Amino acid sequence: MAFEINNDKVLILDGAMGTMLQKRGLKVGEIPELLNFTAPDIIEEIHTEYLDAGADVILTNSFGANRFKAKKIGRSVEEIVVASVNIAKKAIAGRKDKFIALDVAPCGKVLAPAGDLSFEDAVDIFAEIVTAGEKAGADYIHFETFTDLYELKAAIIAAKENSKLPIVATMSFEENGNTFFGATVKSMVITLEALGVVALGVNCSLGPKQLSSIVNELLEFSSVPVFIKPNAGLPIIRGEEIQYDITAEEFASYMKDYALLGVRAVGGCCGTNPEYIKLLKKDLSKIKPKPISFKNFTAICSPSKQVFFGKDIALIGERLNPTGRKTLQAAIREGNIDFILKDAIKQQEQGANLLDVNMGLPDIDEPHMLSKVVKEIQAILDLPLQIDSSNYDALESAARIYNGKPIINSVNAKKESLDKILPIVKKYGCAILGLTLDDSGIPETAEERVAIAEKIINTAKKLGIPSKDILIDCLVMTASAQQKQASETLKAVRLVKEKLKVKTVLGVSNVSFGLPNRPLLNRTMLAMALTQGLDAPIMNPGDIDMSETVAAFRTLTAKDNNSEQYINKFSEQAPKNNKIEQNESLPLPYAITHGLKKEAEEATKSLLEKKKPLDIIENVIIPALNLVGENYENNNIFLPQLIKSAEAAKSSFELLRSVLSKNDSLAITQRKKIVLATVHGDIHDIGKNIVKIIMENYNFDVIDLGKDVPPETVLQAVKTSGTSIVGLSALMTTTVASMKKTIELLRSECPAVKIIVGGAVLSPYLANHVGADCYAKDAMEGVRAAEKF
Amino acid sequence: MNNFYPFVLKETLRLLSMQKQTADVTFLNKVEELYEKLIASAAPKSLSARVPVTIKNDTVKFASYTVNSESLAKLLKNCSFCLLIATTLGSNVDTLISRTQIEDMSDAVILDALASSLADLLCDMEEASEAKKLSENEYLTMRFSPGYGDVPLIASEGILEILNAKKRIGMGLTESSMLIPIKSVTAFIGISDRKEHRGLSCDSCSIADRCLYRKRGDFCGIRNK
Repeated sequence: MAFEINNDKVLILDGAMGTMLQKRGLKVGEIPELLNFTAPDIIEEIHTEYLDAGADVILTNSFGANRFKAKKIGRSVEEIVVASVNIAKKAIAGRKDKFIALDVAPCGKVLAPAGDLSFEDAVDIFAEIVTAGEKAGADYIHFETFTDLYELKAAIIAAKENSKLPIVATMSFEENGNTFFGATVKSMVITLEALGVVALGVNCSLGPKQLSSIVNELLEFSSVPVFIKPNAGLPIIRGEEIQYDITAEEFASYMKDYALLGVRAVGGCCGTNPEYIKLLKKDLSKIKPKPISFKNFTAICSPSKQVFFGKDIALIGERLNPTGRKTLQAAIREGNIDFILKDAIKQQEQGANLLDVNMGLPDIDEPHMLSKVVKEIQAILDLPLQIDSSNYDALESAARIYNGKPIINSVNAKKESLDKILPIVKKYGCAILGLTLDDSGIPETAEERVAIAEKIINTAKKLGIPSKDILIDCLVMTASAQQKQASETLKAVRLVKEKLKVKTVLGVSNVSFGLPNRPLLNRTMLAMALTQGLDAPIMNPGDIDMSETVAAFRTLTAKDNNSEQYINKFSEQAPKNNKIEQNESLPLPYAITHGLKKEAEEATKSLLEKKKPLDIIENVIIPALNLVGENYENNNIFLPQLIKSAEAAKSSFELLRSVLSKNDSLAITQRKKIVLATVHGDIHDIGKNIVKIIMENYNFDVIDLGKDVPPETVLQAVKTSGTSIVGLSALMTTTVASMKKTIELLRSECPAVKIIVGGAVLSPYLANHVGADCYAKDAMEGVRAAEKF
Repeated sequence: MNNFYPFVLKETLRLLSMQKQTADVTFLNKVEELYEKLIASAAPKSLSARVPVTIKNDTVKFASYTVNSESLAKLLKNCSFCLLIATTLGSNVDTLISRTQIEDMSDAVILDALASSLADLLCDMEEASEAKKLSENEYLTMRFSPGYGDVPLIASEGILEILNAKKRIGMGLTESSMLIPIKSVTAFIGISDRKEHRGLSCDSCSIADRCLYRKRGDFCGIRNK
């Protein structure tokens, strides 16, 4: 019988498996899944006890049935899963309306960027489990005890790609409402619902008492049934034994309250036993479940941050788009991720609520670059993202690896666009930005644009994408060419909001192309659009005119409570403007040796009035840097100061590079190239990053491959860049082997290359052992060594 | 966590090879500001457990795990129990340090040292609270972490498994046995039947030959308590 969540009664799940096994003698460190083979009777007996107690659902004994555990017990994943399902089948034989849930827990490894397991490897790991589970005859897949939303997304994608079974997914939270990996309840609900789970909830973590606020939040935001499986209270350690502090009666009484609030399935985790389930059955059997209301909000998220559109104006930062930005184009081509990340951080600081990410350049591997940048941004920033591309593969690969629920930018009403993009939105659980244009282009009237928006919404609905996940962009035209279109667009925004009840987005600054005083037109158009109901302008958050307009609008529409943010923003300004500018700039050598970045820039500017750029580099900056290097080597200054000086010099270099004539520029752009990498298996890269910064300021062109870099990637980079110097870093004894492997590969393919190694574990002896040319104890020694080659 | 600051500061300066007198006020203010940032994003958690341990030649056995290490076997030679400890500052700290590396590498270096010092201090505190639970005639040996001496990094696996640290405090291991989150510590401490020498010894240290602290007449962090 197909699994369904009955609307007439609260579903009773089973209780703990591990606790029951420990009572029967399972020791710490022993693997419960092994008992599927050595003592299947015991597992069946536990299932039977829960069924007798009144459980409607039993979870198979396959909690840790992943490839890592399987290897430890010398069985295949399939064998373990099939055995666990078969035991459950035996237990429910002859009983009516009982279900077998394939129990799947986290795989025990940590996904990148925090750990070293790749997203695709995680998908593979879960694919093995769900494939075997469906084949063996489980009724649905029950993911539980997840703390990393990213791992759970990989698991759900594996389930969607490899089985047709319904998916239930629950996570474990701490009392503060976050998981260890920083995922919040809201982000979990937003992400999982979009991915299409039939139910979601919380298990393990805490007792029913401590879960109260988490359960309430789940019920407030979820449009699908909520499942809960708490522990029997909090653990108390008594000698060798762990006990829990809540009795079966208390447990049932809490759970009854939760059922009355709207929870649709209840069971127990650690510390519970059939007695708990028996009382649940007794106390909850007469409760008629509350109907689940549809929560009509439009939201996207990262694991820890959400944007609820309509609740407040959401600024979509537009800067990560290479169109018309030469510096960004160059950064994308060179793979200069730091530049991109700096831009992302800057936009957040300027007040962006989410960031549009577009890496579209004609001559690059856009699917690879877009997903790489999305991963890198998510590794350091908690803002949700809008994935922007006209390349379907790029959209799909980035939507797949995004952690949370993104917006896809964009779909339009052309058949091809709808056919290609909506399935991506559905599969990977995204929101979608719909543009009001179709095969005949952008219609002139507001009404026609509304009709197109409606078509997009209806087509999406057929695929199961709710209209709350669609945002509409009514498209701003340039007023210089199509003056009357400005008011049509504004009208369309209002009509889309009124008639279709969806949220709206606009890229406003297009309006002013070709006209003088663009900021005036931009901010006026923005104010007009906001009053028509625009929810999310796509704009440069650093555009003061526009962000001030938003601030004023938020104040006048009472979105900024008590004008607090407005006051904060503007009351500080007056004294700042009155600040007397310091005319006297410090000498450049002083600014560099003292690590003063701004002052170095100022000093460089004033020096440029008197000296030529190359003269400044050779006779001012280089000597200052040499002094810094000596001071560091003599322990007169220390690492933080060394870096500060390097960064000060860098700001000076950058300024000079921008004013250098072409011929001069050739001289300093022909810098020595060096490839830097933290070796495969090593995720500690701060040391390598320090070396990078110092090297860049000694005029090296650093090709930074990042951390956990396979030998083949290093080789590839050496070949493509044509460099003859490589710097490798390893922190731990376990990764020295990987360093050796990298060096061996380089030696066999590029014998001329010189290799410098460093890192906490290395020594001159080990450097020799791995076959390096040279050991550098710190960044300065690295520079000295590289200068020699 | 503000009362930890003096300890953390001292250790941080040592990690940065600085002495308090060489750090100026601007620098010290910066360190304090970064410490505030660190504790705002840290979610410190510790676990420990007392487990029976058996030693045979250079092999140490606890529960179903075996560690081959001469120095650990020597450390635990008078012990029939040992403490397993795992502490972490949580994954937000790793993210903060990564992000700061993009914004300001100098700050990131200081933050990194602060976080290492704080993680170590947490481990000290867990050790101190366990020390209070000892019976009469039980004494702690000094603390040994995987990676120290000849204790292989993989020894962390047993500690994390027995403490159920992935599920309880979100700690994991990479393929090459590095701890995740990065700012985490695992350790063994023996429970001995006699008073033990508790200071770390350079004799059993694998990097004694190139130790920067020794070269300037200093010792590493967990010395002579």
